Amino acid sequence: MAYTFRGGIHVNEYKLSSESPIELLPDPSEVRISMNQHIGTPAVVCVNAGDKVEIGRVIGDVPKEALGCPVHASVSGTVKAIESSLVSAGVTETYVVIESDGEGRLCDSVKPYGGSILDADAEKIAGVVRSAGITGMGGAAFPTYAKILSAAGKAELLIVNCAECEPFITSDHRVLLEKSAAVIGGVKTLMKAVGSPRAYVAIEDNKPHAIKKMTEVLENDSMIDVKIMKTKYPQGDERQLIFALTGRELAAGKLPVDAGCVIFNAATCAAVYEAFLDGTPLVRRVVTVSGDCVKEPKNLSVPIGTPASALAEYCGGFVKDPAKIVFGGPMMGLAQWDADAPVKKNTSSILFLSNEFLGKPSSSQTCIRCGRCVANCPMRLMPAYIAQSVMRDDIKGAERYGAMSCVECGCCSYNCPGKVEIVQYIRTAKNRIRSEAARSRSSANDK
Amino acid sequence: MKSNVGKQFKDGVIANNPVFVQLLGMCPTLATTTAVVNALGMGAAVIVVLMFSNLFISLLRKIIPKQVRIASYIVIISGFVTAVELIIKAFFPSIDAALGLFIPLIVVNCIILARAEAFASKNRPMPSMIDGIATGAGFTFALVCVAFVRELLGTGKIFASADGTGGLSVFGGGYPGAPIFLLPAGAFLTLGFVIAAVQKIASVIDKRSQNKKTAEASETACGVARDLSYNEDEDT
Amino acid sequence: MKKDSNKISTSDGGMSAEAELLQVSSSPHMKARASTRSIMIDVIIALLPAYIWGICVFGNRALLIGAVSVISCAAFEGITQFILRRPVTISDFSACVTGLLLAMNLPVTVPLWIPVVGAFFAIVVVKQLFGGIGKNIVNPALAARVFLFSWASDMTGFVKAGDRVNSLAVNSGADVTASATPLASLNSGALPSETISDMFVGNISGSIGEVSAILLLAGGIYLLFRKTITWHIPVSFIGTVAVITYLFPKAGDSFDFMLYEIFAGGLMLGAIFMATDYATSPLTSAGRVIYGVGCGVITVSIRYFGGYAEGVSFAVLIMNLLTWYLDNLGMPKRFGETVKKKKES
Repeated sequence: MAYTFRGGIHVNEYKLSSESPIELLPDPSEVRISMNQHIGTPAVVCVNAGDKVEIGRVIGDVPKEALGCPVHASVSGTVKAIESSLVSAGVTETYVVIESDGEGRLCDSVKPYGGSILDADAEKIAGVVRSAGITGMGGAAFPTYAKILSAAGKAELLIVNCAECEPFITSDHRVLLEKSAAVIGGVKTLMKAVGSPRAYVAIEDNKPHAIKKMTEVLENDSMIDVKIMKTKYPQGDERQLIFALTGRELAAGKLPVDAGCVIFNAATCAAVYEAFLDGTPLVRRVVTVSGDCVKEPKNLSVPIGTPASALAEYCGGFVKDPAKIVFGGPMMGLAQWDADAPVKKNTSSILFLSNEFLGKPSSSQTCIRCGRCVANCPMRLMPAYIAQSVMRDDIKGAERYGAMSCVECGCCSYNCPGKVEIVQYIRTAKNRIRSEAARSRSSANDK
Repeated sequence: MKSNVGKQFKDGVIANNPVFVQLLGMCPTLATTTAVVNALGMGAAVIVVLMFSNLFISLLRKIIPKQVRIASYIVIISGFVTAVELIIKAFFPSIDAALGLFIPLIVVNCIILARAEAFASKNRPMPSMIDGIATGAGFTFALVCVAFVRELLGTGKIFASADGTGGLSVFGGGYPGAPIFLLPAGAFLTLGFVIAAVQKIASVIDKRSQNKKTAEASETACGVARDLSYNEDEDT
Repeated sequence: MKKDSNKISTSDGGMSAEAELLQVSSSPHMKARASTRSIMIDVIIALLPAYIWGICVFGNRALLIGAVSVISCAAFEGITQFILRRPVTISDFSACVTGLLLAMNLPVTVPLWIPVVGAFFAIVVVKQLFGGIGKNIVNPALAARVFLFSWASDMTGFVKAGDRVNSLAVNSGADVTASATPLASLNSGALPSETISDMFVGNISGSIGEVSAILLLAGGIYLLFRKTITWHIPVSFIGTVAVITYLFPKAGDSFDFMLYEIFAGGLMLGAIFMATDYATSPLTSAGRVIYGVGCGVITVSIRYFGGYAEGVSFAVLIMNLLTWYLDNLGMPKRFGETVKKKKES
């Protein structure tokens, strides 16, 4: 019996790389590790140009009280430079550029957890997770230790998110197949930390091998169950996941812990286990390289900070000219303007998309009021009316039709026959609502 | 004095036309424009009423107390409307049959009350009377415009007499007629299109006069500059 | 900073010199193939069976009327958009759909200038003057049909099915043996002489496209399958008419009367193709159901108590005007609001 939610859309899955086993990318000549790898306070660089570093050495740190976790060197070598540059999201980020010596030396600070997890409590486990620099690897990049601490004692259900509903991405799928022990180990550690008695491993039904493997591994486990989810986008969105598995609806602005759940990505669970088992911090991750431009779409295990062009080269180079490079999935990912943009902790895939795939941009955007966006919206808003309110400069109207509850999944824009860029209008509305709220707050403070 | 009269007429008929610009008196505009003859009859009645009521309200403006002014204006206007109605009944019975209830309804026509309130109560008798005639002329012009289109498209003939006979056949005998234009729906449609056309013409004229003004202003500026430079030359 | 040329190596190992700039835009980066045009083509395909039946039983003149209507609609749309300096969008076929629907609403004996005048009203007045596609306040084809009612004698020359009219000009008298439509009989309180199966298949008199219930239903099922329309409006519209006429029959057996009523007149055409027009019907499911029920109630009221035999046109036009209110009335329950209510209670 497959669990599902209301609304959502069926998209072409394009799981071109689902049968490719994880391959180890040889260390690139140079990595650029960003200090903005997580939600919260960006890390502050704590090395200088010319320093010699090893894998696992802390190169960026965040003060104890601030939300954030340390950033580690992913290759051994010399710090070449500390740079700043503007990324396509509109933020200036600081990078530590390390020239790799190809030796792969491990830092002395990398040590397995000395103790039994059964004796550890939430604080201890969160502490280890924090110093390992683990953040949400599904794309959200929320520091995992903060999630553990906020959910400790309050979550009765832990959900492992392996839905991977976005097209092209297969990294979690391969992690489930090839690192199932690590994933289960991580789940158990997190269950101990949060104190939840049950866990569900949610897998979409387009990954039958992964479902079979996990069911076998968990055969004798009474606390963890595999739950099969119907393949529909955006099943991986945490609200839809909670609704599908528990029937509880989480309003906008509320966290999963308010519904008694806590959600972790499968790769994050594996990273947590490795942090305890070997002491390795988060310095490598599995990235799916896909799209219709690379010769052989693959899943690669790459050091954080590897430029995207290095991954494309390893996959056989290009058969078509890429018109867009997207970090993440095609529905919610971030387009890049730099072909050498470095991999971050939350980069689950890099897509190289051609003009043929993207299609010609439409010359006119006209809402024909067909209602498909309203029918597909998983948050049950009225996207067409929000877009029309923004076109008329009616921000109050946009708020009334639900702009602030939007999760920007893209279901509305995907199906729009009139080619209206609905999500962009909703983002505009959100910005305007936030800035007006800030303005009225500051004027209220002034009074 | 003369230029004032001219300006008042231009205002009443074009710039401040009660139907096309102020959008007052829509009800008789829609109801009595089924034929040009009817429109002319209605317009004439309104001109007469406006002229006399404006004159008398202006004559009495210093005596009527502010609190009862609207009621007083209505009394004066209805006096003249009754007179006009009786004259039409006596001398133009076919017009009376065609216009029917809309002649007594002139009493509550917004245009007459609006001119009384806005102009006649604040100005001397002669200008008030001229204003009445000008506004009435504007109203008649608007009515004739709409009636022309409606009668032409609706029956294929224009200037048919009040009882429906005669008239100039423009499209020839085979024109089946478009009865919709003689019905209220057609009245609204025609009025909408005519107002749109008037607004378009007005905006084109506006733009031309603005261009002319900026051209004149820059010419004057150039002229001043030229004068200045000549003066400088003289000094050196 | 932003790089102007990207050093991307191609499969032959060389550097692609000065590759094109990368596109950077906001997500989503993937779109479905559906466009306004594909939807309109679907609607045309759904309408064709009933239209072709109309040509078969009413004669080749029906084809001519359809052609005149579609060409006039497209021409008026192009000219108006050109004059108003808007982008010309005839290629999205929405004007063609309006033209086809208008033609299917006319009897076969109309003079050829009737579809042209109707096209002018539908496209120029109702659609373009209100802002173009998606912005009209009432259904253009239905509004045009009602506008054309004022030429009453031309619009009521209904011919019996099978009396094919093939000539260009219509001699009223020679070609037209005017026959009362089944709807007219129902209105006068008697069951019509045609059988129910005749009405279902379309062997009756009426407008070109409204006679064959089964072919219209087939078109409707095609549209449901293609997800162009949802079931809410047709089911609630036809269902309401069925329920009311079953409970309050005017003559004969309740069930028979109900079947006659739902197959007679333009109910099938109106409920499936006209009431579901995107721009003028609600976006929300709840709104759509209320809209359909409202249309049904008004249709039956006009058929029973009104002067006109056919109530569908006016019913749909009236409910079209209420669409914005119905949308706000039928706003879906926001995700999470049920939990909020439980917490507050």
